[in-house]
Amino acid sequence: MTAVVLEEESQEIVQRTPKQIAWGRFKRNKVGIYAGCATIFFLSVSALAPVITRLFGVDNHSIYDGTLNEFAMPIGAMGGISWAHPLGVEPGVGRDVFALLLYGSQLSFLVAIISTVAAIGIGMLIGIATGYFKGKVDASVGRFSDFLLSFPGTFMIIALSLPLVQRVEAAGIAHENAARILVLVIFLVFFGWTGFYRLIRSQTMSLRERDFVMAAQAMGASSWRIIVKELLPNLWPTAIVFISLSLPGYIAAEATFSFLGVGVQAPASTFGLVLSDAIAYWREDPAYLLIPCTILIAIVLALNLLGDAVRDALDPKAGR
Amino acid sequence: MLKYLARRLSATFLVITLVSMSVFGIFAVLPMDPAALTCGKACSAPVIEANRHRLGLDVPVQVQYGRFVKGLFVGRDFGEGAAAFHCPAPAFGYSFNRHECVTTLVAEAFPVTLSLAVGAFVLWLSVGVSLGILAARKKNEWQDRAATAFVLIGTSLPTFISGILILLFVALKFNLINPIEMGRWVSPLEDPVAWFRTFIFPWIVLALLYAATYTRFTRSNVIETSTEDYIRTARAKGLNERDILRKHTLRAALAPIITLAGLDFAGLLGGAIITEGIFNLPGLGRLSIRAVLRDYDLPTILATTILAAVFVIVANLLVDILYAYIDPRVRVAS
Amino acid sequence: MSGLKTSRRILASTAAIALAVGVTVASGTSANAAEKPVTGGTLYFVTNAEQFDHIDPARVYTGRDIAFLNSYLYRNLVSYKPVAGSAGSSLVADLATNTGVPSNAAKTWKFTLRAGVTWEDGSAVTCADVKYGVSRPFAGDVITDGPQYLVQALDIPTDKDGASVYKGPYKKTGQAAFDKAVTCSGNTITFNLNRSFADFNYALTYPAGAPVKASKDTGDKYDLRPFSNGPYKISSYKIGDQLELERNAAWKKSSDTVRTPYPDNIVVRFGLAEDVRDQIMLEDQIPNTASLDALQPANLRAFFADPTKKAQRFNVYDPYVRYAAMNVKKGHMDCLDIRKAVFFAINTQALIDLSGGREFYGDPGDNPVKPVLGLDYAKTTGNIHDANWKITGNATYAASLLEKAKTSCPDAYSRATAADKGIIWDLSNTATSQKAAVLIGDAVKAAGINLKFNFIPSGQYYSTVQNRDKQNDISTAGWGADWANASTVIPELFTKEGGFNLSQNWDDAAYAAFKKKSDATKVETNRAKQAKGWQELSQYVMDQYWIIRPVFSKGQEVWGSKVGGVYYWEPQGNFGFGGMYVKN
Repeated sequence: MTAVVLEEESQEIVQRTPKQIAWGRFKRNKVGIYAGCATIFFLSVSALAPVITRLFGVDNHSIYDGTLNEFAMPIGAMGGISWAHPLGVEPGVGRDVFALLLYGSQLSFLVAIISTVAAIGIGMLIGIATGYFKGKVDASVGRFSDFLLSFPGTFMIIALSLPLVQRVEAAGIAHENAARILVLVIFLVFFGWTGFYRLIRSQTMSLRERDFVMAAQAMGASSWRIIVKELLPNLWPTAIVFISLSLPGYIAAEATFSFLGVGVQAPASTFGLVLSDAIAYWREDPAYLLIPCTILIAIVLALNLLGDAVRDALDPKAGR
Repeated sequence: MLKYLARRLSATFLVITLVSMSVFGIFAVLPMDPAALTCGKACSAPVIEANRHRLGLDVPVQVQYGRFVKGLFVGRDFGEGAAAFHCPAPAFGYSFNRHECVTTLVAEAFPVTLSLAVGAFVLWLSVGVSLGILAARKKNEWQDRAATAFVLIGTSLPTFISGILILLFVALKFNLINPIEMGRWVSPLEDPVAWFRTFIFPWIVLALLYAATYTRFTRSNVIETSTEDYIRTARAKGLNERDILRKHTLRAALAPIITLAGLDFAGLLGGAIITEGIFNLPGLGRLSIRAVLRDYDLPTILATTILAAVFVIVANLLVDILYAYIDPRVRVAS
Repeated sequence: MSGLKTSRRILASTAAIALAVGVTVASGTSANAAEKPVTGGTLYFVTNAEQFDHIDPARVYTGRDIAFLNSYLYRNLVSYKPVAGSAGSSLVADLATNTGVPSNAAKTWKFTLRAGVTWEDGSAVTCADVKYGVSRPFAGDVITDGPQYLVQALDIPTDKDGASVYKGPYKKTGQAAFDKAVTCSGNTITFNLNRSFADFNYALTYPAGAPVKASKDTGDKYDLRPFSNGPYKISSYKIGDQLELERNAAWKKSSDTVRTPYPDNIVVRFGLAEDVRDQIMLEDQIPNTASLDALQPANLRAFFADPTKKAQRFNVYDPYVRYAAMNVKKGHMDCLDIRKAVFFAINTQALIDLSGGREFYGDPGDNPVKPVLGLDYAKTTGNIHDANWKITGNATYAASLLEKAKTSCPDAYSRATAADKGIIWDLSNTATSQKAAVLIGDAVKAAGINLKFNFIPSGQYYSTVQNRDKQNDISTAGWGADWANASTVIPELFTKEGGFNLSQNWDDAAYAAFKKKSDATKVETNRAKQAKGWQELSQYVMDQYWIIRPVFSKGQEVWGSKVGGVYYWEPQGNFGFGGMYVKN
């Protein structure tokens, strides 16, 4: 950072809240701004999938006659890209790839956001509780998280998801793709909360030794009050950084699991499903493989860049 | 130190026991019925029962677990009459789908996964750490930016995508692998060149992912360490930058990296499911996935799951011991 | 490959286009009369499968495995003639000196063994070895998955559950009963059967009737290393890796009129990724290789479009009929009108195109029996010959059938249309079937039917749907005759005792009449009359819509430029492995 910037900061620091400082730092990070815009673009486009597909005059369930030749391959160059089908058509069936991916990204974001929020919520709750109260509970939760970490998570998810989906369906909690998504999210959270829990626990432990917490305790504030009023406001930057760095990871994880056949199934569609199908056509229709690859990478990349920028803004020491 | 060792060892033993018990429990309560799944054409109720007996699933799960533990120490017998045979200790059970003792299957798959893990480990550690140091030293210069770009690409590429792209558009397209030998296990002692050719692309795929993380981690660690007081002191003393880096900064900055690397390495030893799958490598990952998806081969599933957990637990133990050795405070604290 | 290898003829559940190959319309074979076979060299095979389903003779049951192992490793009493065309379906004496002598209304069969046949250690193959081999399928707890014809046909009492009292050579329970049913006298073995079995010798083309040397039997582990009496023996076999065969020095040409072993070594490479396998074949990277699988559809088309590869491929009707079985048990597809509505709604054209089109996948069929079976096939009426049937689906007519069901079977109607219920269709979880589900779901939705899909991991597909409680309303399946008689199709698929009944039709009102006629036809000794019976029963099955949309499927095989002597072995639906050689 140049001297000028430092000077500016020190001049304004009296009038600015930490939030404003972070926002000011974020605004100066051009890459972060672009990534943020891209993320907002991806998020809103996928949230508005029904509207946007209607604007393009396509949807994700129609089978378009006349787009496939007699071998069920797309007619036209680049996997049948045309004005009517901007990203081509799906070989073998004839659905619109643009609509498939748009609705697919909806599912990906859904899984990623729910998993992230749930993992962070649980990690936050347990992290604060164990970090603040310590004692026997802390020790046993710590052991349990070590214990969880030793399991081969990916393999367990693959091995257990089918029987668990059957259980969920038999119990009538959810059905078909809803059940599959539910089970996937539960697994992702079950194996995912420990990382955040550890972070929050150690931060809580150091915060509770700080003067302002000690002072509050001395004044006879209840534990509840201390946690809500003193600890939480100091933990939220960590949570935001963690969220922004976890999201792309969960997006990629969802794609990986649906590629491996865990998660939603036809007629729904996700990046992982499209890609696992596209491998069989890579010689004849490479566009069908490369387009979803590129978009998925772009989404994950944008989220990663945004995450970096958020971290730099909130916690400038960590990265730079 | 001895007392500490004894305490950690017994704790580890306890965790391994717990893990193996819970894996047994989890797979026992599942609504999958291997006896019915592997039952042949004349699949009537008595045949399923006979099959259940053959698979050793006709007794309560605690008895199954007891047999499993006993088999680890004294071996196990399977089958009856003239068709009986013995799996010597340590016996993880017998795979009726592959007609082998599970221990044999694991022993055959392990060198593949080990080769994959070791090669990838060396590659990602050397690339990641050196890129990270470079980026830290040339902070905000083009080298740093290039390293950042590498980090972003590496972390944004899921392994299944990088694996497929490298396999289809590099290895296959340019005939860089001998297709009929692809993924076949060759011992590096017998034919190092063939071994190298088998593993080079999987190494790259795995290393791409990990190296990115390590570059980022190394960079921030080195930067952070170099602002510590003792480094400033060294600099004030007039030591040259290279010596400071080698003697002081790196020593402090790399310790946590080694810890992380140890755990990541152990995680890989349990099997790299996606990479092994894409590159046809007959390692532990493929063994376990095949056991689940193809024929629900319970003894193999149990063995690979427990082994993968044991690798991580043992790595944790080793890292802890190493730390205790370096830093005596740890011994007292825990 | 299917995890359950119950029948040689159950279609593998994973392959979009399966392992086998068919009949008569062979569009190319390299068996050029002018070419002289070359001895020596190494012949490679590549496959995506991890292993042969089984190689223990008593457990082998898929056409490719039988064709391969019978050509190279072990000999049966009788074998199919290793020649191209329909002559390949005739029997020749192999270990025996004749193709069997029936007596006592075909309830007793005698075979005399050829002299001079030896095992790989040089010891003679004796009548006791054959008898021992035949006894092994009775050990159902060790020898799983093999054909059950011998177990069912030999005259051995059964207990109250219908299981044979003989428990096989390992436990030896009921050995006396077996010793009475199968007897050895010198070089002659006699089989005493519990019914007239006019084509019993065809059942003996299955290696379950092949000899096994008792001292070499290793029970379950025999599936890794069977003891050879054929021209090759196993030098190594590792599942997921490869199988290597070398010449069996103890085998003598003079004792074997059937086999012509050309290559010195044979290597089967298992578990190759599909892209890699296709690349090897498309670019002829290893010219002395044949693929045991058909290529992926797009690559297959590329291979067949290449004029330089004309002599390296064939495309024939395979032995299979692929179909969707209706589970007509009460509470499932128990309503004829609903079954018909589903059938008439489906877009058959799109489904066939998805899997390779009529050229590579097959034609819409009208019968559970394939025309290949000759005598037993006759064109049916109704179904695809119905005036309302359209190859791209007829939603209007399907909707009218559904409307009819509203009054004829209101329960089934509400199940089929209610949003929270719906019909559930079992499919094995592959990329192709995921897409087929989209096509089917789209077509029936237009008719107002609510159809859902249950995707089962492909390795567990058949074992799941064959479980009567786990099977859902409709299950995709495939089946081919075990030999040229619909007695291995109709009773197997549609009687309660059958080994592959996915219709669960025994409580259906239409079952009693069907069953009676089927039983009578099975023991009919006049072949023409029997054929008439099967034809009528096929019509009956189609009229009941116990199965819908049969497809008479096709299969393709491809091989490298240095492989010669390839022909299509009709009865096994596969390569005639014995004639293949490596060109210079």
